[in-house]
Amino acid sequence: MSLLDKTTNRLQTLADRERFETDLDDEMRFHLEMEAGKHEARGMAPEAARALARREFGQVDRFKDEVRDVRGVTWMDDVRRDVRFALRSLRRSPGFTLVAVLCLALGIGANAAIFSVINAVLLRPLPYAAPDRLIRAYEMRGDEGKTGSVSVPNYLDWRAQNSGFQDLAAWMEGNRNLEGVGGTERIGSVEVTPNLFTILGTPALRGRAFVPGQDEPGKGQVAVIGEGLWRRRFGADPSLVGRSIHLDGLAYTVLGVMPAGFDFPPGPAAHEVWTLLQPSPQQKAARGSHFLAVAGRLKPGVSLDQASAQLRTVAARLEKQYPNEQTGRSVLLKPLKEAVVGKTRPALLILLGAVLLVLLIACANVANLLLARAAVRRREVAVRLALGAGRARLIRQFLVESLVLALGGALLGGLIAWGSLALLAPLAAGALPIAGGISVDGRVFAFLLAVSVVSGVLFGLVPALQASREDVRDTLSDAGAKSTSGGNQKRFRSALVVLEIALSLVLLVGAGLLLRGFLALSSTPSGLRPDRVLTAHLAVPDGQLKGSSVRVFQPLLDKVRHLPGVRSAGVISMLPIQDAWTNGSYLIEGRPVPKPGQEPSAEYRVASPQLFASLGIPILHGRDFTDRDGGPGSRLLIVNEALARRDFPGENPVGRQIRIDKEAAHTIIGVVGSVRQAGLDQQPLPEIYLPYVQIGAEDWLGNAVLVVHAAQAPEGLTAAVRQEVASVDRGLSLFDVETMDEVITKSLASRRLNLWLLGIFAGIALVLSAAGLYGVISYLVAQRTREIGVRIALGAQTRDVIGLVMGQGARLTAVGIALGLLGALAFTRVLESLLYGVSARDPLTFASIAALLAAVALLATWLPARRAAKVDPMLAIRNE
Amino acid sequence: MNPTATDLLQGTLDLLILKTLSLGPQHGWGVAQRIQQTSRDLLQINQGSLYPALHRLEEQGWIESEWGVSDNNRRAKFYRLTAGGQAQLDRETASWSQYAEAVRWVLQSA
Repeated sequence: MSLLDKTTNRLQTLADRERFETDLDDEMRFHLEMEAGKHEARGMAPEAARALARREFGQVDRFKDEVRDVRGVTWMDDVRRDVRFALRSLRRSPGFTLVAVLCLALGIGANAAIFSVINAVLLRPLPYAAPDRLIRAYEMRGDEGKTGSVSVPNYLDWRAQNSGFQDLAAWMEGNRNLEGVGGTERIGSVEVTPNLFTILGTPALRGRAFVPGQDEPGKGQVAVIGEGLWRRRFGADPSLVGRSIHLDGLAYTVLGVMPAGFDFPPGPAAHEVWTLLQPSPQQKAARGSHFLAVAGRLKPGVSLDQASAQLRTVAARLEKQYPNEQTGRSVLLKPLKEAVVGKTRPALLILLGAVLLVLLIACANVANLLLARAAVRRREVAVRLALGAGRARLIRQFLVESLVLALGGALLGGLIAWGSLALLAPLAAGALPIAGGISVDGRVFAFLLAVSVVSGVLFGLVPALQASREDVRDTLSDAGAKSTSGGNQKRFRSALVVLEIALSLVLLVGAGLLLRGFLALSSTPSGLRPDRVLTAHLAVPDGQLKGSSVRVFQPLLDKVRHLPGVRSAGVISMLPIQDAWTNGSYLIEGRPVPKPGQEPSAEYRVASPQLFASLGIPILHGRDFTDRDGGPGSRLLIVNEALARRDFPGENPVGRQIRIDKEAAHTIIGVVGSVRQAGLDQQPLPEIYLPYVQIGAEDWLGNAVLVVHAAQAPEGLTAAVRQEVASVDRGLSLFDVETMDEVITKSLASRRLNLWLLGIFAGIALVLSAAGLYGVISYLVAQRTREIGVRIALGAQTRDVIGLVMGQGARLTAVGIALGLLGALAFTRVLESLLYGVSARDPLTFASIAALLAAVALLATWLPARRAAKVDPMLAIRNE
Repeated sequence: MNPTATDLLQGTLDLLILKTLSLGPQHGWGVAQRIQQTSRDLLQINQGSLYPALHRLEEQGWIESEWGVSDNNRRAKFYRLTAGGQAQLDRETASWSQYAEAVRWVLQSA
């Protein structure tokens, strides 16, 4: 019988206890009657036959008991009795129960919440067939391990020459305007190679996905769409398959609908349309033009290392073959899952560690409460021992009580987790690499159960053992009943409080460091002036940009600039602070040509006139682009300060020339301030701005961003700007309208989430440990009431008594803080990857957190100390 | 009553029950009767102790039970050998024979 069957069996027996008993009864009675019948048939009197049968059978009750033992019924009965007893005794002290359950609920709830996130992000496999065989492939530049996108020819060569993968697919993410009855909607889209869906192994819900080698209808203008889109826009119409939808003004035939929950590539952004990647002849030839993402499925039996080694030899061959483009470039393979969640793992594990510490503190607190309770219950225990209760039985009963508390805590904690996940959802959006799916599933439930059982044993075991060691005679004799509990117990309880304080300090220091880092990062100069700047992505229908982007953007910019309340407006190919992946190499005119692979490289962005003014990027030398720039033969560019400092130290680069793509030279007309392109925590990279009027610039402007500097609050301009844009061309539309402040805030989302969570956990820890300290000091005061009364009677002043009690608390606090500081020194190093601009051993943070904790601890001891000072000496002494 | 029949070796009762049930489903009393008859009354099992043994074997998954109707139209609990029980019976039978054989050799050599 499997364990599961056994458990269900047991539970069934437990649930239907009466049935079990009647069945057992019937079974044995049947036997006795049959046996008696046999004897009767041989001529015995019925009475005597029954008596003989009974004698032959033996003691019915004894065998019934044996059967109950065999079936585990006895054990369950005992547990049931223990649970009932525990519930009754907990109900008798509601204050204790409430505090204990609350402590545990906070600890367990925090754990459940974080584990739900870890479960959704790290543990749950990606929704594809055998997802651990899916591998992401990057081009790697140099030895720095910098990973980047792949060019079309490289992808084709990798695919043709590798032997470790069943197949490799490539894709490129973007956005499309979906037009139709429901209005125009901007949706996440992906252009993919036809083999992608075969590699992923997810079958379509309706119709089919792309099939490699198949000639698709309509010259490859086909699309696979997501279930959400199908439902939202097409009312889940099954006849959509085979019909067309309009994306960016072009008709695509819908081949199929993917099932709910499917998305590719996995990540925070949702994609709802997949079309075929159709690289232009130029792109097919441009080995240096990197824009594809690549992933593949390993062949059975091939390891990641083997595939990696093999693909590297392919890359090495390409490097030899095409030294101009490939020098210094190799391949890096990563499991797809790792590529998606790898960066988030350290932060999540740190948070898990933090909540485990919180739980440990909660357990210490409850253990302390239980010990205090055990001191009160010594008489009860002693009586039961004297009446012959076994110690094992007593220990079990105490443990059952702890487990009942823990399960109560888990129940409430589960609710807390559920509620806090809902509250955290807005913070978590954009901060986690996988959107949605954070829910309480079977695994979270199992974790919750395991955590509560482990913590129940953890905080219940010592009090249970201690209670069962009670000396019966000592306790029952009148003197013993009131005597203080042993020094052992006092020491143990003090140690628990010291532990709590130390752990809280570690958590608080961690949260403090994150806060310091966050503040440092928030105040890092970004290089631009974010206030009163409105940004909006421009959706331009396919084909409209062909030839010249000016034709589209210039009338648009003119109209926007003339809006009242607009100071300036410009267009850029990609907003700063968000990301940086559009880089390339160049040569400086008049300098010796470097060896292949040694050329300087920079970020490339395309900008319109007034872009720098709109973003508040200062022009340090030379001038901005103007609308008169451009035209055939005019090749201009602007560089940033970082590039000027690296390539032209001590010179003014204005007037110098740079050769891009080994084509005609471009003249530098200006130098602008550096901005942090890839995020506030990344140093500014050398950068080249090309004018949007230049031939070829339109290739960069497919996802252009309009930047408007407003005289007042920029949000008020949104409607007017939208209207102006639509008045230029009905096909043009704006999406993702945000102020620059919001863009920067968003870029800090994951740090903000980490800060909030660790801050909340540290706060809980602080409250719990303060409560623990308060409890222990109160207890010690209660134990010393008589002594304090004598002292007061002998003339001790209020101040002396308060000093006496607080001294005790201060000693515990001091030891806790000292241990905590050591612990923090050892453990905050794991935080390093999450910190910015502050050392993991920042003395200011350490000192101020220690001071904060000391202040809270003093308050927690001052309250019982004041009570002690008010002891009426006569009462205290007489009471004994 | 044969005096040697009262002491069954530990575990032997289980083997006898499995063997009996391998001949077909049977209720507890039937098992007792059958063991008694086939052992020509040499083995008289303690009837009450049959039940803990039956329940233990069912817990282990070697037999399973079902309520049915006996020959004389009474409600009775019938036990049946499972596939796992058959395998267990084969194992036990083999090791029992080996044991008996070994004991016989030792006794004969003396």
